[in-house]
Amino acid sequence: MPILAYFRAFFTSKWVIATTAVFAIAYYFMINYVISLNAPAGFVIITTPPILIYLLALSAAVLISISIESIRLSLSRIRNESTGALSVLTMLAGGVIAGCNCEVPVLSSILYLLALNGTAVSSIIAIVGDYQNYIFVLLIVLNVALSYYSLSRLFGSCSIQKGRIVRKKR
Amino acid sequence: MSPKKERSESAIVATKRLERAVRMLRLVSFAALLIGIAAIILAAGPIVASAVSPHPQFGHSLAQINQPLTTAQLEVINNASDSYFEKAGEMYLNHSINSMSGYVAAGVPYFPLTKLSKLPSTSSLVHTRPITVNGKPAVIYLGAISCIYCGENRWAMALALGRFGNFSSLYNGYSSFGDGDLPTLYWQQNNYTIPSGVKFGNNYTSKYVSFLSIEYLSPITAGFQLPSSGLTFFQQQAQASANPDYINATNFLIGINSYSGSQSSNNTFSGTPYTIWGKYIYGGATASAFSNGTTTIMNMTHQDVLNQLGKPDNVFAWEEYIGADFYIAGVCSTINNTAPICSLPAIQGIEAVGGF
Repeated sequence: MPILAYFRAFFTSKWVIATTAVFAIAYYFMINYVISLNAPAGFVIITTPPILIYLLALSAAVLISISIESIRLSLSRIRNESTGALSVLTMLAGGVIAGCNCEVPVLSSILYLLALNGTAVSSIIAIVGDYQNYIFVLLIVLNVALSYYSLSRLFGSCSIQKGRIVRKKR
Repeated sequence: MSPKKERSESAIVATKRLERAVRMLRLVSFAALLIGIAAIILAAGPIVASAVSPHPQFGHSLAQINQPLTTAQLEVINNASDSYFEKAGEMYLNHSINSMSGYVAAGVPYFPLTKLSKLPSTSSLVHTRPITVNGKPAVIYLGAISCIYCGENRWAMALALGRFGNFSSLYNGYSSFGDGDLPTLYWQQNNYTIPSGVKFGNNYTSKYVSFLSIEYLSPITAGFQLPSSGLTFFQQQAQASANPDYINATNFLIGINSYSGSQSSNNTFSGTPYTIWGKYIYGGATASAFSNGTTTIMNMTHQDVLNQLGKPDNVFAWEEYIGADFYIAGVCSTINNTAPICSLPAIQGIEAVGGF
């Protein structure tokens, strides 16, 4: 089944659309909050194009909606909760990356927790600064790929009936 | 239907209901968990979504870039009245300003301040004392012309240094287009089109401190940039320059950021500006003054900024002076309060509350 067909089929359910919308808004605010952590003095500088932030929030929301729907249908709970958690992780990573600027207290704190020294951290800060938008695109692509994978599994055992996703009868 | 069959069917219905209830419970608990996390995060702090938008007139035209400050403009920096530093410090100490500079009221720093002597010694690290140049403790600045916080903080730095000595020249500059594009000072004329480079040095003299400035150069039309080899790049460039003071300074910066493994949390580099004022490491900007309540610094010219610093009457100007006070406190603590500015009650107050 082509990728768009999966997504089109998935979004025929109003419940799914509502869930995705709620999570997209919540994720957008959460990304902004994580970004604001990089500006302890309150003046927030976002150097990532807003469209990438919107797309990340949306793609993460789609991923978690698929996860929720899969859990509702009692498909493999562990696997689906893992993809749901991944959507939260990509969203948090996006927030950290989008807030990267000349001062990066959040990212550097995380890197020092990983036992790196200051020289390595200064290199990583430079690389993140250079490739910030590419990293963002990568996170979005990761969400879309995981969504496609999850949907293909979902529609392997489910179908759409009267606008609702239901399990196929065996 | 026999009673037995009836009982069996009602048991199946009950089991199905139970399964549905369990599924619903799982779903609700998972959603509640996520929403709860979101609610906690949202309730814990402000949501700020405004990006910095560059001013179409001043920055992008790069007006006056690399032009030296006039004598009158230099006077604002070199001869700022002690009373401004005192009043700003008092405002900070009595919380009469909603300050975004220095420390918050509870004593939590907006910028990480570390005393060199508190760093643990290791076999490879002996730099837990301040370095000196010509017998004077060094003020070391590591920044980038592209960096917005460096751009904003050079005003506070210049004001602070002006209390211990003199700049014979300073230059109009900007942070990069992709990082605020705000008007700032350059310590020297900088090549703002070079793909990657470093400018060492400045035109500052003082009998109390030696000022070593290390500025990373990159295209002003791009965004914030640092060299991908990090701090090592500055060390290599200093060695290439054969200037012993800068070789010593860059070795020092790498030395105090060489903790690894379980000691990694002792590293203090977390971006730029990164400065050492005598015995103290400032892991970020002391002032974060980007607005005077009416307009942002991005919408000001260099002269606008200097007018406000020359006659402070708004939050932007006072916060620059508060930021300067914190730098002054670090130097005063290092030189045993021997400079006249150190006798100001506000500076002594900041030394006391700031843990200097």
